[in-house]
Amino acid sequence: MDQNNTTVSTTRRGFLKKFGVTLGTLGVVSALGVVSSCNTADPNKKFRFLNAEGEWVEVDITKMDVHLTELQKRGREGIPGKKFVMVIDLAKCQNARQCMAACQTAHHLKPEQHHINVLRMENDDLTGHYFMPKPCQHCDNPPCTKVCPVDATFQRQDGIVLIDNERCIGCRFCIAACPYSARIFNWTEPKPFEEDIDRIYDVELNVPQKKGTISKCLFSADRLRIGKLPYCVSACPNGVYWFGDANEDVVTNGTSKESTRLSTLLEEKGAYTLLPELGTKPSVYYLPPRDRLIKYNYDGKNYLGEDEPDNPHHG
Amino acid sequence: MSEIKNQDEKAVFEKIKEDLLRPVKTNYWGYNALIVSLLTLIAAALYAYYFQLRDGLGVTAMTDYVSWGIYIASFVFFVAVALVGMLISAVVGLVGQKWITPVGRIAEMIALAFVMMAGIIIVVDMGRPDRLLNVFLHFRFQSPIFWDVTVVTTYVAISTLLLLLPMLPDLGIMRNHLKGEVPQWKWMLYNILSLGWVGTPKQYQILHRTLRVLLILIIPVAMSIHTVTSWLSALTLRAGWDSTIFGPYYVSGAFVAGSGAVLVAMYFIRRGYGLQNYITDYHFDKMGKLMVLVSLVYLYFNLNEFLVPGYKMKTHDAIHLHTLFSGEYSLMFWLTQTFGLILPIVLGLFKKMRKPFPLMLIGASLVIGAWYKRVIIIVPTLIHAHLPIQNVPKDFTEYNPTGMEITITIGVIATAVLIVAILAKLFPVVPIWETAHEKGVDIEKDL
Amino acid sequence: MNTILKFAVIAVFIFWNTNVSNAQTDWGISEEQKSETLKIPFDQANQEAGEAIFNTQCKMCHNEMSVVPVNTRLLPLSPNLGSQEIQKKNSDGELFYKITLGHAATGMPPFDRLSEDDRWKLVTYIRTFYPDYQPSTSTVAASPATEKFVGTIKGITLDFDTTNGTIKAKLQALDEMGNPANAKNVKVSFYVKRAFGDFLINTKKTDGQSIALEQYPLDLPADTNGYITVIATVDGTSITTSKEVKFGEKIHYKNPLDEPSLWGPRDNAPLWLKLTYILVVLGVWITIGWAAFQIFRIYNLRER
Repeated sequence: MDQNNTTVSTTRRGFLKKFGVTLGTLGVVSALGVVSSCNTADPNKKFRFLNAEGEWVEVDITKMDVHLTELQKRGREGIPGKKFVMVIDLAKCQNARQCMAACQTAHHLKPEQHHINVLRMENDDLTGHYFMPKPCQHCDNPPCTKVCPVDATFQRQDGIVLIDNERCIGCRFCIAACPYSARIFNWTEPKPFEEDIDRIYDVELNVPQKKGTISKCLFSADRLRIGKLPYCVSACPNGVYWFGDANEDVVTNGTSKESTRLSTLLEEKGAYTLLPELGTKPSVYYLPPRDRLIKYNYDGKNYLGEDEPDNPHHG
Repeated sequence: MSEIKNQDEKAVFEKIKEDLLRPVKTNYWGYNALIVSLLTLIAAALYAYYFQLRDGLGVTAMTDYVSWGIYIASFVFFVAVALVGMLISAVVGLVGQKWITPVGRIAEMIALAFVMMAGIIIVVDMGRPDRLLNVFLHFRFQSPIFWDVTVVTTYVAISTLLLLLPMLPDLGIMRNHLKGEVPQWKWMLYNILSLGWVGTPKQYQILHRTLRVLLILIIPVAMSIHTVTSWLSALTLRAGWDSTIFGPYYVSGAFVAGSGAVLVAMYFIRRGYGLQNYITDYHFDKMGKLMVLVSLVYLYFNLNEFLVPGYKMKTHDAIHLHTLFSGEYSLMFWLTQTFGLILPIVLGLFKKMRKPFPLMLIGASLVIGAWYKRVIIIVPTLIHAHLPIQNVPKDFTEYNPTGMEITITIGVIATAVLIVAILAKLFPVVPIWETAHEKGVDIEKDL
Repeated sequence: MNTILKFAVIAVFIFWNTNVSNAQTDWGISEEQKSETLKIPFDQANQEAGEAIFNTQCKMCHNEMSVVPVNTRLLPLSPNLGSQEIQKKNSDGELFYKITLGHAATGMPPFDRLSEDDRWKLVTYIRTFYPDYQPSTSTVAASPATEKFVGTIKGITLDFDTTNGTIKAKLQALDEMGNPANAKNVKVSFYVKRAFGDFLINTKKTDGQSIALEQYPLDLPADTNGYITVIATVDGTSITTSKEVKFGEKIHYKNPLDEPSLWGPRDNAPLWLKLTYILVVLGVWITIGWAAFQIFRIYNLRER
């Protein structure tokens, strides 16, 4: 278990130095991890998971497989009658990155791992910069699930694309297939978390993360099950995100909690989807970045304050 | 009269047998040195793989963006080289070319060794090799990886049969003539593998019929294995991979890589085993011509692959092509295209160059070029995603393989060479019976 | 130890930084601008118009306003403008020009795209959260039509007419003396329950019979059985009620994963694909098996 500690703090040391706060937290957490993992395995060991009501449940080691299967079955079926959609208002995004932080905390990700990533976009030299949060697009014609050899990544009936890291073989074909670069891979041991010890894997949260498997944005399927908005949506201070059920034709703003008609919002604001020419049919809509609240002066630095190489990409 | 003829025949056969079986019986220090160095490389790779298993694929330079690196490039390379078995034995053989007799078995040995390593390196590339069984427990009919698993296993099976079956008469000869001349375990191996071959007309009839069926069957199977391999890239939406000609592009490239590998193997086997009378300059000349022919086909597909998107310059295609033609991968790209494609065609046109030594050099250049070409196909496309790569450390936007993954890759390549070396030492590389038949000797009398 | 120290240093730095930016924010407003006073009447019409603008333009950052002594929200959250400290510190002119000019460092955008009148309306609305406010302009007395109901509202009931889709909310109210009375001009908001929040259909005022009527938007989808849940709330109170009713269009929902699809997202491949695949692979392997069997035949012929 000492392994976890050293792996994280040596291989990524240079990187983490820039994240004083994160490193502090990480140090404490991994120290706790080391301490609590000193208990050797015994037959009376308890495993824990969050049930549908969002409460911790302790189960016996002998029943662990049963609960794992139950969670996976529930996660694979999805919520009947729903079709979840996200609307991202680019005019409102001010690069606060609260969504990224909330997501990384919830899914136990490392600082360089993003389920949602706020990108600095520039369509053309004359068009100026705008910020674009980019979660998984939860396509209705997902290129990633098509190629999976073992049905480890799959689409559910409510449109959400999930990853089952108890089944994933780590071939990374889905990363190659995803045109939105929405998938990440646990190249090394994941970030150690105390609460992940003895925790039964929840496919709707993809926690605990596992070495050698894929992770990705899940639309916070665990939160949706209990009727709450996704972590990123709730965390946004700027009212960027609208989230809801397309079958109900209403989306709710994560900041103001205001609800509005989805069809009207999309129509009036001239919504679009990302890379529509690829035919992926995303469940994430973007409202154009017109009348942006903040003008952004790009100084050629990335989020770490490093000089960024010339990036030939234009969205 | 017939007595004299018989005596002549017997002498000729004895000579052939003696020459071709000498490598099986003799100990060469060069061979032993080769085996030792290959084993060293493999041991180093196993040591590195232990770290990869322990610490995860993070020991490689792969990242969330460049998620496939030299492992997958090597996989494509192995499959490509393996295709030569099909090219030589089936395509060239079935159109009635006689010169392939001393080349066919070398090609089959290379094919078998490389296709097996293709399977191995895929496992090396997996994040969870412990879950390999999931591929069979939870397979999806729609996944190209499942198709790949199917065709690779099929190709291994057919290649094994295509190596073993034409060897049966030779194994019969070895069983009859090598008792006491080789260690007992070796003789036992020949005895078992010869399957009681005695060379009756009926046995020959069955052998020829089975071979004919297998040689026809291997053509679609080999085409599938490399086409499916190309689809691993071509079925995605990425610029540089999103191409309709990727199947034939890969297959034609495979023939180039394969003929290069056969040329190198021919040269060293001929020199090492002193088989100048069997693998002659004539055979090299023919192989050289075949190499030029397949390179020309490959050139045609290269033209299509780069000119068509290059003419239109769609956004992401343009970024990709700029990277290859004048960007960070341009040096590697132009070197590869020159030494792996243009130069062999130009040099191969001259009769002087179609001699064993120059051809070996050209072949080596083709093989090395082929490996780098696979890296160029896999990596630059991944570096340029559709959306900007941001909020990740700088090294996520580039790919420089680490010592670990280079060691492991070299180890797997060494294993392929080791398998070829062992096969080429254990069994006669040039078929005795076919050579004898071609010289008009009826070997069955002798058995 | 080292990490804890680092953590502390950074925490102190952030705290200090926030304080500084709070205390020393220079909005670039001249004294002349600060001295400007309200340009429009401080009346209910303007306040309500201001509320509507606030809801669409400001609320997503500033959230609900509430009367509190000091603002407790820190950056990047925008302050609660109901803070009495903020209300006291800012003149009408300062509020107006802060809205107009914005302040890039705090994240407050310039709202010069709103008309001057609209911006003053916002100021009137913000000032309704300042009980000590002394408006410089006339405070026009509410007309009888908009006279506020004085008394207590006890409850609310919902009634529906499913033929034409009207929703009827009736209030039970007591007047100041404690006698049952009709509550007139009370705002009732009608919502439809949705997955992550209640969707506001409209806000209506009650008539002389304590009744507020609303037309249900019939194109709003209902659940799979054709039912929706309507919620009616008396504005500014916690009095609320909800009721299920058969309104709107039933969702004709079909699980998209039931159908096998060609290159589908799940493992349900269409039969023809499975069959073709199995047949081809079987055909090849039967041939391989046949070849292996020939070896056996050759072996059987070992005796001459």
